[in-house]
Amino acid sequence: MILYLVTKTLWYFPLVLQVAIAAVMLRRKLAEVFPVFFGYTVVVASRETALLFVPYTGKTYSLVYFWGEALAVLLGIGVIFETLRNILPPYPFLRLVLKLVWVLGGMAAATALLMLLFSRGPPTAQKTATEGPAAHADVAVPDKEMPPKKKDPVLESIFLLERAARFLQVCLLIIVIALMSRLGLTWQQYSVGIVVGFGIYSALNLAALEFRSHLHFVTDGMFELINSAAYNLGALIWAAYFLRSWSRTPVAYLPKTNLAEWNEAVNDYVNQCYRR
Amino acid sequence: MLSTLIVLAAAVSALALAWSLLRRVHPEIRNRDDWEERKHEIDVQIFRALLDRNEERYLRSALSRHQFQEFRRKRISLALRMLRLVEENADLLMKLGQLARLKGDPALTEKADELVATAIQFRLNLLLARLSLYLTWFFPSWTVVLPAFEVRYQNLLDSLAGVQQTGWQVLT
Repeated sequence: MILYLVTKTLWYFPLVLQVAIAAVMLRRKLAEVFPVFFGYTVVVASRETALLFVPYTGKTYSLVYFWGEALAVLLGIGVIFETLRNILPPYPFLRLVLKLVWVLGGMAAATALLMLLFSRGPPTAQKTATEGPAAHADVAVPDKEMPPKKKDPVLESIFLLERAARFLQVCLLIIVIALMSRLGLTWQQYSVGIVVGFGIYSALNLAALEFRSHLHFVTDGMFELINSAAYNLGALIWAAYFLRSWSRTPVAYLPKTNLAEWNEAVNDYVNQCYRR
Repeated sequence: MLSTLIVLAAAVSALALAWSLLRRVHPEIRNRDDWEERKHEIDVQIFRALLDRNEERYLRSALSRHQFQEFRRKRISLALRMLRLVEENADLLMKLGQLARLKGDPALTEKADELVATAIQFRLNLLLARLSLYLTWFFPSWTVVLPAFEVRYQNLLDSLAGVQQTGWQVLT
């Protein structure tokens, strides 16, 4: 009973948060600034809502779940590029990083697309994949109501592809977060919120996938709970950034600083140490 | 097994980085008073003196090897601490620059862009400087000389001028 309640809470809670986030984004006109993240929020929330009303054992459930899953992975990758575009100043110095991100992103998108194509395969509504809170729905349904699980090679391929897409997504996030952190681009609160939310969710999801599918340390039920909890954490972080008011007072003048002198001093030291 | 290790390492790295980014954001600056309150007054000449090659040569000749190593490590630690404090200043100034942009005054916006561009350039320099300083701390007898990223760095300097002229999209 407790497990059932926990499962349901973990399913509904991020759904409510994401609807609220989408509403706030529309109200503050942030949907125009972050259209991909807005799309992601709407897609995941819509899919979760749709799954509430679709019979679990039908083929429709499987289709909605897996198509939504692949779309969410693709949009998740798009969100990273969107954030990168918003935060980075146009330095040619950073082009190398951007190229690397594009290559990784392309690979992740390709695997996600393959996932999408494979997802036509599962004949029954086996839903143990991972994007969004519905991933724990298995736990919510008593075992006797569930169709017997067999090892489906297509489903296994989907998990493998999802692992690859997640890994690439996590690598992209590492690059973006490291850039933001090193260059001090943390004043853009919404971008920070989006990236941190995705970073924590994707990292936990990837680790859980690994522990389940490769190391077999966790059961399917436990995996789904961990995954849902991770998604809840991600949604909470997004909500904390988007639902909060970031009203700021403009300043009328800037102070005199010796930052340029410091920059010159550090630059001189760098020139001393790095042979040209 | 190797793939598992790589995957788990990536997951742990992403978690650690995301957590550090979450913690970084907290110090807020709302106005110039905040800046006056939080800024660190540090003399740049002291930093220059700490890393001066001539002084280093003198110390190397005047002290025993062991003493020199110990003394150099202390100087480097001090330089690193100073850099950390100036980095905090740069963070605050970047945020202050964003607040100045909100005013919508073209002259102020230009100054703010210049300030932010300098701060980003400073942080990029810091990456290279820290690498060199840490290496020197580990090998105090070694005079660090590393290959330069001349072309890219020159590109950066060139592009900074462009950024200072046009600014870039600042969203939030």
